[in-house]
Amino acid sequence: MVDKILLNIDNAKPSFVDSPLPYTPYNLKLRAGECVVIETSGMELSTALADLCSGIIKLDRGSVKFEGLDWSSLNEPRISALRGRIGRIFQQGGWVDMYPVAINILMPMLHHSSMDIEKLTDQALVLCRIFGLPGLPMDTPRHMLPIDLQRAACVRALLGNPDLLLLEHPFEGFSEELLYPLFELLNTAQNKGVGVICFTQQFSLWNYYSERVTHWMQLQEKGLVSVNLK
Amino acid sequence: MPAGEIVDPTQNPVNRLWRFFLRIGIPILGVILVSFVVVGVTLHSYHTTKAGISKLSHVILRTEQSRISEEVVSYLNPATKGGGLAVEMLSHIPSEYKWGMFYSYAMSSLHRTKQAESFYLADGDGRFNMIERVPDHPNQVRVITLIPDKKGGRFYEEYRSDNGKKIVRSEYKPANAYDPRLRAWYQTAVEQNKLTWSSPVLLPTKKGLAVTASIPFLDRDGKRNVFAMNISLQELTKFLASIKLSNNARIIIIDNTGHIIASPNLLTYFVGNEWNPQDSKINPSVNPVIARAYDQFLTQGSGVHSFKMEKNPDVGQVQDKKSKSIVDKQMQASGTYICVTSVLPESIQKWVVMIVIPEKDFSGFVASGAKQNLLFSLLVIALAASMAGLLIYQGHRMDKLGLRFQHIQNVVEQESDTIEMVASSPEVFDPRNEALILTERLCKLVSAHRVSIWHISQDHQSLICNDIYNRHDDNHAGGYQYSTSELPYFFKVLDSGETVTVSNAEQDQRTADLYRLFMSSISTRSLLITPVLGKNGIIGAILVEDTPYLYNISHITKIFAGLVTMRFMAAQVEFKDSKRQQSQNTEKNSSVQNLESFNNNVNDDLKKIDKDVYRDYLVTPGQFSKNNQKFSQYEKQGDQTVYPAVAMMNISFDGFLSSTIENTVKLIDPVKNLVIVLEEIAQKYGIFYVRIMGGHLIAVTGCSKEPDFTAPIRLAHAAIDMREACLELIPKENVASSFGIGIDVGSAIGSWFGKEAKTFALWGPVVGMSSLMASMAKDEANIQVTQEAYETLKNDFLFRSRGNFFIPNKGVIDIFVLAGRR
Repeated sequence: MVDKILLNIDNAKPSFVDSPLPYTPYNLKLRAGECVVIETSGMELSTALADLCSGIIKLDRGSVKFEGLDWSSLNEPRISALRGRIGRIFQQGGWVDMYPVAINILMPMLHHSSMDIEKLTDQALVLCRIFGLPGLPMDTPRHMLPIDLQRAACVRALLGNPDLLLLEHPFEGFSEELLYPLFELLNTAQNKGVGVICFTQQFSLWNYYSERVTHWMQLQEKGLVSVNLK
Repeated sequence: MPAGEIVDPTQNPVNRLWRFFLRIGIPILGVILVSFVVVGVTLHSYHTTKAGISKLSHVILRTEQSRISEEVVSYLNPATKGGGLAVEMLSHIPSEYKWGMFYSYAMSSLHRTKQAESFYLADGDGRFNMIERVPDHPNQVRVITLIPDKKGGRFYEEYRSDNGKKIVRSEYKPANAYDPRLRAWYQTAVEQNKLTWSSPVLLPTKKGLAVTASIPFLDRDGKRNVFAMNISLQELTKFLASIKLSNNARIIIIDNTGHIIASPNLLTYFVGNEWNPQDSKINPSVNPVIARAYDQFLTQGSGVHSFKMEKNPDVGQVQDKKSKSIVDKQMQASGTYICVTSVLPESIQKWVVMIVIPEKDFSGFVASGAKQNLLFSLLVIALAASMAGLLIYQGHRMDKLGLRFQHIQNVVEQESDTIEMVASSPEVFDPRNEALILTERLCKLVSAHRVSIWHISQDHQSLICNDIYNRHDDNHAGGYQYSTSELPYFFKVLDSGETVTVSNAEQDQRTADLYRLFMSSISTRSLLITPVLGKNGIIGAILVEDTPYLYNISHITKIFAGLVTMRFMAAQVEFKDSKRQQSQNTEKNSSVQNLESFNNNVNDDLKKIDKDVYRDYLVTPGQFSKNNQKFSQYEKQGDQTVYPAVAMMNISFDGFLSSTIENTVKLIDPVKNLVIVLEEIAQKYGIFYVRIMGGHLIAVTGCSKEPDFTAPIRLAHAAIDMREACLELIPKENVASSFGIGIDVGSAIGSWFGKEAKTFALWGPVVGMSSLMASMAKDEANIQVTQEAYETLKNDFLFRSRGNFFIPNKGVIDIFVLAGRR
């Protein structure tokens, strides 16, 4: 459906025990092609909020629906398949140390789709070059340079044309060489109807991309609050 | 959604299974349940009825059996009671009268009792007297008296009428030493000293069997005598045959040695056969059912018993010729049989009356009833199955209707969303902005191949395309313009003001020209034409190509046509305001040229630069600001000046001017020729600054204190001409080269360098952006412009959108391709 609501967080109050988020109801509607930048005071809060969007956190009240499906009403394997439609950059990395980064990049799509590995590799290589990686990194995550690992995280998040991108502080602490390719791809993705939620500790990092940002929000004690920056 | 997704999370397999169970499983389960219930009820009814019938049949059989027993006892009474009476009489009278008494009794009995066949009287002295019926002469009796003599004795036979009064004839026959005392009937009676019965014997007529009852007694003189009588079993057999319990019932009397005393079939068994006492024995190989019933009696005693017979194929195969005739074929069938047996009194030697009857004779109608019930049950099941089928069909229809309803709901939701989105976009009603959202949203909503918005020129002579969105390529375009002479029929359609649906535009006369000129390039077929109505008639149209919902979307295209009308009206108002402002500006400042005369009187003229470039052509800053940027701050720096609206063109050549040195030497002449042509074009349009550096040609105009609105227009005209010139000249020089032209408009800082030979230099985003536009336009030698340039030029030139791009240090911008002059 055109302009459908991609993610609908409706009065969702996350479990106090399971989540470090302020114990308050959260509301957020993200339509296809929209971009929301959320400013948080701590990276772990961003991760918790991204977990809330991904249906990982148990709710005391309310609902979180992705593509019209309530996370709490789904069981395996549907819940995993639905998460396969989300591309995510984890602020904590989210790497499996025992495998090369290339395997880490390809593994989600190999798990969720029946795409040929060669085609998948081709797509990953294109993304790698866009982000400044000469090829698919074959080192394990602990042996990679931080900037290259972050590039790989971007590649992993965007591989497989996800419907929703959850980007936890994607380029904070890194140079602009990562910023521009990501903006370029985010712009393309938004044009194709992908919803983007970016977490940042500083709105100004997104100034260059401000024209494509639909909503600016802050995570406060009373929940998600819209901020008018335009 | 990722391609090749293994699990589709939007599809719930549980729901699908549950729905399948509801739609298919429940009706089938219902039919199975109905079948079980019906069959169960039928079987229960069958068994209950059968048990009831069996019980009732047992009662009936017992009653019947009692009656038969009484009849048998009564039948044999002449021997038991009558014999006893005769013996009593004979033993109390003087011996000399006993023969007369015997005669009187026998004659009387033969006359009164049909079953009595003959009477014997013998004494211990060997005297013997017998009175019997004469075969074939029912009204006669034969009186035989043994007359002993030395020659073995003689029989004196008198044939008398049955009342004994008339002697028909008499004769003597040799007795052949006949001694009654040696006969079995005599000896058995004497031995047992009581009433004894012989085994059945064949009557002399061979028309039946008889049994002999012998009673011993002592006469008045104390001599031993034996009174005997033959009782014909023929009448008993007839009686048994007359009892019709059922078609296959058998009533048999059996003596205590297993001989059949009487049986309905016995009459026919022995006719014309040689008699053998063993033949009347129950033979399991001949009569297995009777034998089984008798065995049952022997083991379980009298009463009602049931037994089951299996089909024995050997029965009847082993019998010999003699026994063949007594095979009771009706008693060969397998099945369940009921046997009722009772023992007759001691006086009749405990003969057994046995009734054997197939159970089906009683419960047969129950079976046929059950069969009928089963047929009814099958009918009910068939009806239930057809109802289940209907239910499944109806469920399937409901599912389809549900899906259809869901689809309609989705369509309505999409339409609402789209209209809401379009209506909430401010650029839709701002004619200065390109409202690409209109075509794009409509195209996606109706799943069309292409949607285009057209406006009709004020003179109503041409149809100009404002925007085309191609959903398959996901891009916007424009620049098409057709006159009334090219599309005469199509204009007539528009003038009618009606929404027109054409399933095959190529075949339809009204749209054939449009198909040839416009649609054939992408081979679309169907077309929906929605006129855009203005205040004074048709002012434009919306064309929807190849939509699957061709006949159902006119309402939504009319809504969009209304939005387009508002947009066109706003554009007209804007245009009128702009015209009025232009005329006012012209009156105030004559130095500003109008659009029609810029070729003859331009601010930026290269010829004027030669005189005093530094003083005459650089504007004095500090007079105005742009984008809240005050240019006066640069005034103190002296050597540099900010130009607020510089229009810069960059032509990027690839493989021509930027080849190797050796090749470049060869290219000097062609380049000289090209530069001469390009300079002429620059002079023609009053371009202030033209330079060639490496593979780039840079042309600048608009380096003035106040924005010169003609500058970008002149530059665009020059770009079109230069493009044509390059396309014409470069192939002639036999040089493989591609080029692209980029235009940007924006503020720039200009300054002069050098002491003697001063060089004019420009800095600013406009320089980089025009270069970027040029290098990105080489594929098709396009003229690519930035969003700012497009905003400035869109009223005078035709553009196609190339899309929006994120550009570092610039952000996300729309990029357009200049398609031609309006």
